Amino acid sequence: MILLCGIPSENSQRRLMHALDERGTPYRFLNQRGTLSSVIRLEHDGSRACPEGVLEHDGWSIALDEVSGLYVRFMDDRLLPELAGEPPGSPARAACRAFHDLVGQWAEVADARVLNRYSAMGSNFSKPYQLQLIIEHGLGVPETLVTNDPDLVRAFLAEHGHVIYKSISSERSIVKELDAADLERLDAIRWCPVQFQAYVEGTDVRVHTIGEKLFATAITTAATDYRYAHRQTGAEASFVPTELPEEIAARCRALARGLGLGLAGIDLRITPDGRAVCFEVNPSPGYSYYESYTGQPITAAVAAHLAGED
Amino acid sequence: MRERAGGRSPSRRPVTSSLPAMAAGGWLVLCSVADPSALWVYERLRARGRATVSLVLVESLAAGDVRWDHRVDDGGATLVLSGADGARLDGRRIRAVLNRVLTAPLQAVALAELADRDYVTNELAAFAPSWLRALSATVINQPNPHGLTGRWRAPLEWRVLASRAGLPTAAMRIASDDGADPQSVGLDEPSSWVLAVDGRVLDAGAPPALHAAVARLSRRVDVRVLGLRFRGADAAAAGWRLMDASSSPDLSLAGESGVAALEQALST
Repeated sequence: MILLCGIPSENSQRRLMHALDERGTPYRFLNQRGTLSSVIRLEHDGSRACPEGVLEHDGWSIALDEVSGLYVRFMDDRLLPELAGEPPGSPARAACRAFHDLVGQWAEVADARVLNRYSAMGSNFSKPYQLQLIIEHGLGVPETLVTNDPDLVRAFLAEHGHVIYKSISSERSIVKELDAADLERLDAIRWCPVQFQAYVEGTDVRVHTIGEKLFATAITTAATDYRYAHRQTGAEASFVPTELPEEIAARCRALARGLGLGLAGIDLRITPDGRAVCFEVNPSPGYSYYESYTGQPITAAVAAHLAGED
Repeated sequence: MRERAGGRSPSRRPVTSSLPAMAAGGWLVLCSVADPSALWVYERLRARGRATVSLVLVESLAAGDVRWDHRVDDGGATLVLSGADGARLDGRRIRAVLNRVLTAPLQAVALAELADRDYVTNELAAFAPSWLRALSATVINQPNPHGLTGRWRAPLEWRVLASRAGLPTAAMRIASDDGADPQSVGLDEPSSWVLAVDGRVLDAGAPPALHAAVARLSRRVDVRVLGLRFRGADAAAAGWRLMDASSSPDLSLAGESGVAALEQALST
């Protein structure tokens, strides 16, 4: 049995349900909007390699050891509309948090294909930390400076000529070029170190790895951050399927494997001299966005992986 | 740096830094002023004299006059800290670090504009595992974004992992509707802690099978300094059943033999 967890109207989930329906693969959907009336029970007898338990949701229940594939894409449970108006620490909030916490605990040790375990997703919480792991897997990284010293930033800019900055955490931020206006307010970094990177020339490639399968999508835009291409340049980015040199593809697979990610969205830039520079690895990629532009069968690969077919 | 980035004026700095003069090849103990067992280990390591040992208090790193220079490139990662007095801590000169940082230095958050505080908190928390990892080639324990002395795990996960390693564990049961805290359930009975360093249980009464299982567990979770919480005030009498574990245990649990084990770990 495959268990999908999240918001059913979300694009990746809709596509995944459709792909599983087409395959005829049985699955259950744990609708996060209904978790207030859901229960998960876990039991460990002190010797088993996995806990036993049951999940009850929306009129059905399954034994957890029946789950062989698990896809988890929860939104922040604190922001669920069902909790709107609930004060901090209310019984409903506590029960909802406990439910999500226990699903996560079970996923960590479940004998199943899990996309993805929270432990594996953690490296993306700290981008410079993740860069250190990326280096160990043989991919290049942008020259990065995290500092609260304006003088070091000015020297870094003088050295590289073209510098961007972005958040250290996984909190979504728009990648921005360091410009004259930013230099005017550099003293603001004194209390909170900021991450700066040398700009890397080249073509953006989003690589999705699903187990050993790999899909590469080239993105063409003049924007600093292609996700905001229209806002930054007035024109949409273009998305085209592409092939990676086998050596780079192998490093991407090894990186995802090394991070423990069965599903990963790897952001590369291929430089004019053919070097692959990796910016980050997204452990919960919205792959449907790329699939909708290119028709690459990413969802089908996710479904097959969850079904244990690769 | 956000569009609305804004700390208050540097003239309102409340704390000043205190960085030690590091001898090349020395050891560094990095801990909070509220961590008595780490401070005790620092004193004991110094007294034993096997290497030059320096101490940095996490709280001092929150001072506004500490300059952070953390770089990552294809060659690896480095960290250099500089204080207003010219003191300089260069990770490349540190041979090994005993890492007891439980929370990132967040005191500066209070000085940020109200609207920026959540962002600043997230940024400083995300920064910590990166600079800690870059502090030296040997950082014990290694930081993780889900725990600065190693990834935090719930008691359930520790028990499952311990079972897989061949360690007997205390049975447990939990449900999302039973009102219990999922992160501490099953810990409300008498227990005792034992220290393990590099997989070696520092308790004279531990049987050989326990040593072997803990060595497997330690390797699998990649945590070199591990506190193991067993059922019963007398763990041996209760059958050495694991209830929980910690990557930031009381370092004084095993007395001087614990210090010797840490000394050995920092040397290798």
